[in-house]
Amino acid sequence: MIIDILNYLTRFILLVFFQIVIINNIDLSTYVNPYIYVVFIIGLPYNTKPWIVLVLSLLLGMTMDSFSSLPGPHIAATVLMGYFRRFYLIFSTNKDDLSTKIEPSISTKGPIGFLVYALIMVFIHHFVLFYLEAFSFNQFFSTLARVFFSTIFTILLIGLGQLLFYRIAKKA
Amino acid sequence: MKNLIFFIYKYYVFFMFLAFEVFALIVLFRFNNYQQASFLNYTASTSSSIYNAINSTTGYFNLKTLNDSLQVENSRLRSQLLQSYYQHGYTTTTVNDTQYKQQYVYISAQVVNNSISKKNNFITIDKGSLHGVKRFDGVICPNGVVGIVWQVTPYYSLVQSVLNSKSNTGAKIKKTGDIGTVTWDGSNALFAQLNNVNTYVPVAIGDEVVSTTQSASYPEEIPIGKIVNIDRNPEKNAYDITILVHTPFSRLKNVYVVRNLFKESQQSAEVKVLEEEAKDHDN
Repeated sequence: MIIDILNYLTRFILLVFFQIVIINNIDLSTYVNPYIYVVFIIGLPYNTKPWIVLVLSLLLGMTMDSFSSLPGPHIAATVLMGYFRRFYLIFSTNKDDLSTKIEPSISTKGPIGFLVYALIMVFIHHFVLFYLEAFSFNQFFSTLARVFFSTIFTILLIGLGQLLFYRIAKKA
Repeated sequence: MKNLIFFIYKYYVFFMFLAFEVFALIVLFRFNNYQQASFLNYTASTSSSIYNAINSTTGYFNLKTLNDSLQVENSRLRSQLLQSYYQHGYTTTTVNDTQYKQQYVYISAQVVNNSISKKNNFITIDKGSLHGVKRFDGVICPNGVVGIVWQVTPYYSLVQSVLNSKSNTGAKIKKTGDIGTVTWDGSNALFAQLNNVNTYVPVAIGDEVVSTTQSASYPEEIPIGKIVNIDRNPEKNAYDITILVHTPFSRLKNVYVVRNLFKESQQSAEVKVLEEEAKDHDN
């Protein structure tokens, strides 16, 4: 139990650090702002209680917001994503797995299953985040393009991270 | 009552989610426009010290280019010193100290945090009200204009970058002296837009765009950019001009805050004129 907490605390700090120090300093284009810290919420075990997911989302959002010049968008986006996580997992995973400590990853959900799951989560997050950051609906489509390209890059980075840390599930 | 409690208990996750979202939106709306200062006050002490630690390590990587640009600026300033002028011919002048009064004070500052890839970009610098920075002071770098001080805390200031969709920088075309406004459409960090230049003005690709004193934040003729594209806007009888920005926003490090000591008197004079015009209009 304590080992788990320490494990996830380290992951939290490392991801936030990685996001702020490295990812935020890569200025590819105004349309590409990947936010890979969301992988912390995406990778929580199946049996994490919903309220714990929400509280962790709030904490993660607040941490990211305190490093930006505008408070609020990261909290709103991450909490919404954390809330929807449960519904997609109930829909996409069998009941036996849901009560175990397994983490959703390419080795447990398979590459396609995991990518679809991550894509939906990241899209929800980025959609809310970019529109709240722009704080207006004029230039609607340029913000939408921003959501679109950033989602692709976040997924790309998450996929690379998964390949680095997990083994791809062999087909049964 | 019992049913209500049971209902809330049953759907507690949903209510928690609702509460968190409402909290986020309240924070966002409260701080969105002009109260960012107070938020900055909460977070500046911790996040800025972390940013400072990061900068003190990454700062070494571009020391060479930084030194070069400072050296170029030093040599330029040196050449403007009185000692570097040869006295040509004989003139008798009476030096009257009251003739020159200092108008601009420069405060050097370091960039602590910077972004160029958002739609509304802000820059955090490590000088604040304790060093004499005030709101709406201009910020420049050796290459050109950077932005306007937006929020001030004792030790840090938040600068609204020229690369901000809400920024309006008063500018003029150096060759002809015609004024316009520099804005940013949020798509590319290298290019900004120069608006409100009338179509009768003879503009050409390659013309320099510089700052004016009409906004009272910048000194006269600080470079902004170079015209790279000119389009005619048929609706407004004005040009849509694209300029290549001189300031290297992606590797900004040393900047100067410009304090205009006459700003208040300039603005109070302008306000008086506006008030009188309004009065005339009423009569």
